[in-house]
Amino acid sequence: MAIENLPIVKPSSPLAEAWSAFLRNKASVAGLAMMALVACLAIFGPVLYSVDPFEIVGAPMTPPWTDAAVPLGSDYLGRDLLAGIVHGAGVTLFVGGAAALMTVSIGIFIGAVAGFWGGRADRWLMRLTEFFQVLPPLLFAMTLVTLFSPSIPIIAISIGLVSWPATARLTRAEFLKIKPQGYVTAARSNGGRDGYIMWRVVLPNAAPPLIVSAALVVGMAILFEAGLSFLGLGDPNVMSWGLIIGSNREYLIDGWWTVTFPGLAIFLTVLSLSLIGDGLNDAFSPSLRER
Amino acid sequence: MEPAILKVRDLTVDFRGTGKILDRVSFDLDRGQTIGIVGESGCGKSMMALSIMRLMPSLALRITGGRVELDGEDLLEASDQRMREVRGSKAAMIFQDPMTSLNPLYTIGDQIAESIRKNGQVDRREAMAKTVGMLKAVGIPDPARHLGEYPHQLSGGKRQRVMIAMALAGNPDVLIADEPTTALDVTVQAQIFEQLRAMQEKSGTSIILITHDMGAVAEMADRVVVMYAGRIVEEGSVEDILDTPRHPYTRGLIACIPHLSDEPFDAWPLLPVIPGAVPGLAERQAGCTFAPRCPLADRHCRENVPPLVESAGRRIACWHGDGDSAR
Amino acid sequence: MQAISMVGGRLASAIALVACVIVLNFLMIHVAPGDPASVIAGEMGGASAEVLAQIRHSYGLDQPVYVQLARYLVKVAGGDLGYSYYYNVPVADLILERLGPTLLLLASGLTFAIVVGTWLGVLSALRPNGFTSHIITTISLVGYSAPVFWTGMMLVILFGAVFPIFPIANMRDITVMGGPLTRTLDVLHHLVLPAFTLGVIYMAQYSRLCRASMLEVLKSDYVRTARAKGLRERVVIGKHALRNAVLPVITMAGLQLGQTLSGSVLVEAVFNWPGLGTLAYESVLRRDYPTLLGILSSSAVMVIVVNILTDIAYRIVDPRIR
Repeated sequence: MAIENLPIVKPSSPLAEAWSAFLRNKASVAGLAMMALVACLAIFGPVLYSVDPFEIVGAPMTPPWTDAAVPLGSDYLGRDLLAGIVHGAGVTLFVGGAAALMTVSIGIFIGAVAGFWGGRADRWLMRLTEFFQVLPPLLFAMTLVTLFSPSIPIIAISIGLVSWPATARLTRAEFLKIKPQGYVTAARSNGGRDGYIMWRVVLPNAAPPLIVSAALVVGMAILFEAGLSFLGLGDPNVMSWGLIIGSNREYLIDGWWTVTFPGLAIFLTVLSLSLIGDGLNDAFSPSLRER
Repeated sequence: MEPAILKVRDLTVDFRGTGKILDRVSFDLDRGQTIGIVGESGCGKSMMALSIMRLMPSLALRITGGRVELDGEDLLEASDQRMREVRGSKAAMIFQDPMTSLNPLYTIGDQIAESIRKNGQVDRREAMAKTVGMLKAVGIPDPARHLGEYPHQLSGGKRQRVMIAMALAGNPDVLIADEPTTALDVTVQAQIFEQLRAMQEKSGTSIILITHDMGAVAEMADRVVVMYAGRIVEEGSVEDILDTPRHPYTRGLIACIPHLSDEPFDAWPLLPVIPGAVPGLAERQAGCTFAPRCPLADRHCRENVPPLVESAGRRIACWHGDGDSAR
Repeated sequence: MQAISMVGGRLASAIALVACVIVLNFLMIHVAPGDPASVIAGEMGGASAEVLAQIRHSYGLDQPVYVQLARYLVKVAGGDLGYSYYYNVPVADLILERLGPTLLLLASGLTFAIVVGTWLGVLSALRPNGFTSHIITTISLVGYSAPVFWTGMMLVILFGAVFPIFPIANMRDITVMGGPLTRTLDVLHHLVLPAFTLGVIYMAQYSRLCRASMLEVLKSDYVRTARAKGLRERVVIGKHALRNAVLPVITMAGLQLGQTLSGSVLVEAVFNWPGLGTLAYESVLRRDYPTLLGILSSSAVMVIVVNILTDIAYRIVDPRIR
């Protein structure tokens, strides 16, 4: 085989390989597609279907598919359920995303510092983590929101404050695993500053399980926000899916649609995130296990 | 009574259409004897042991032909239930790494007693008493104290002795030892072999010793089987094989054993190696599988698989059968 | 000896944690908008001027902060978690009254989750590519992604309207007469749906965890040894493999008590189960801050205690840790 005749094969990066592995997995692609649908609903929905979810447009407790003014039925006040779902998508994604961003930022930062520097910093940061892990998440968030105010920023902050410990532990474990590797020692002995090593050398290699965890964190944040809204602790000026379910609680047997449809929306959104997270996990595992 | 307790005939194991891990392997194991199976990693020796015990590790590996007669009974035809009865009581196996081969959550006393109770109707107390006896028999001092200990609390040598005790608890006819000392320190290795020999003398167990270490073979075995790429290439008594190896591969293996020389250091010869590596399943070509690495190979070798030929108590599969360079 | 010093160490750090929780409570009272006195009184409680003055005096709110903190710590250490001006009883009493039902719900939900989750995980590991395995994976994805209160509500609709075989609210039927056995059975009857709802999420997680763990264990050398000893397959799986495979599930269950407590808040709300969760929910509605804060700190203490117990349990099961 003459060397000129060998086919040219471009080497692919681990990231590219993981991406194609991800695309080969049917469940992950389904999850991605569902997520894209929800995102479209959030962005374009309110524009295309501009009924105000707070406006009373029909008779209370109209069943679905009977009245064209309220296609999916109406709630106990006569508000359009479909409008609620359409407008709720944006809230859900925004709060879920913001809370997840906070969780991941705090968690990665604390976990990286603890795992990389070790010693006293590690001990104290782990005590801090343990403290926040001991507080029951929903109860703590409920307390914060009650004491301060049920606005979207407070909600996102509360969710972030209770969720970061798990991410911190995961990050710390990854850093502890990666730091003793040869290439890290080499980078440090070449004179790299700690900050550079942590963020540009170790973190990219720690990324795969963190990315998987991030997908699941968004899902958890969405469930969390739904729970708070269900309990009436959400932002009352915003129609979120949890709020629809919570406000129609007492009518649930006679008006199953008021509770089923919003819940289905939450379920499908979180399901798509779980599928994506699972897919990412499978895509990353064989190739990137050895770091 | 037949001299052979175990007769393996034409054992063939296939790896899901890719190739044969074992290709028509045949040998006899006589009562009270030890046979050493040698070869480099990848030659199929471990797979042979697992095939005899029918402990195939995956569904992709299938026994596609042959007979394995243990005391007159063909194990390959036996039902799953019969095989379970056979394991532990007529044929037993010990593995390479005693740390991972023992269950970390149960005491060694429990695990040995489990073997004892499986092979006979004894109650807990009697089983424990017998366990103490077994521990003493494998050379563990102060056995009663170790009954309640867990595997991670023992040293490597002791753990392997525990494995031996578990295997011999049922008084099997055949013990298969798959690289029993590879994971242990050299000093401990000698002790383990001594232990095995002592127990063999007492109980008459026949042993199949699988190893890549010619030194272990010299110590323990009565007969030697040399395997390469799933086939037997040579067989004979240990004296014959070590003194006058005929197959080029066997010669290469023995030549690789480092030994001290009376020559001064700078006159020591280079340690010989067998060039190349054992071919993977997909890479095996027609003809003699050893040909690519063989100094004596010619075109005839590369085109025709040499048959296993018997003469004077030895077998050899080589076109250059008597080891001469000319045919 | 080593064990005792280890437990002692854990106790010491546990006490430190509890102290931190109490300090957190203190901080929240003082950092929240509004006058600390009205936070302590609760906004809808007895917020009359003389009550507020009384509070200021007894809590020493005009004192420097560190004095206040010390007095607060002493108060709480003595078991005084404040007073609910809404219910007119000490918070500690309220909590004790509602603790039992919540513990019952938690215990049964978690037991269900661990037992069924492990069983499903083992089943799907034994036949990893079979139909059963796919169904189990699907169930676990669904159980994990659905909001717990929605699952509960779907069950309420199912058993309230379609198959009324389980009660859908409360812990007891007050119309049921009879001896202790009848009343116990009544409670258990009411327990089914809430416990199932709470447990489903964790059952989903544990079945996946157990499946992965079991698959690993089945490949291990000691399982091979067990088979080589000729033990029956049931013994190989049930005795040798299972105990090793279940370890990660137990660890995870122990770590998740905080989340489970939170989940129970939502489940209690849906089923009107008279536990700490409904109390918390009601306190939120009524701005009964003392009760809310009291529940928060006592739940945190519960989590700390369970963490220690889980640690001990783990050491008992896995001899390598000792």
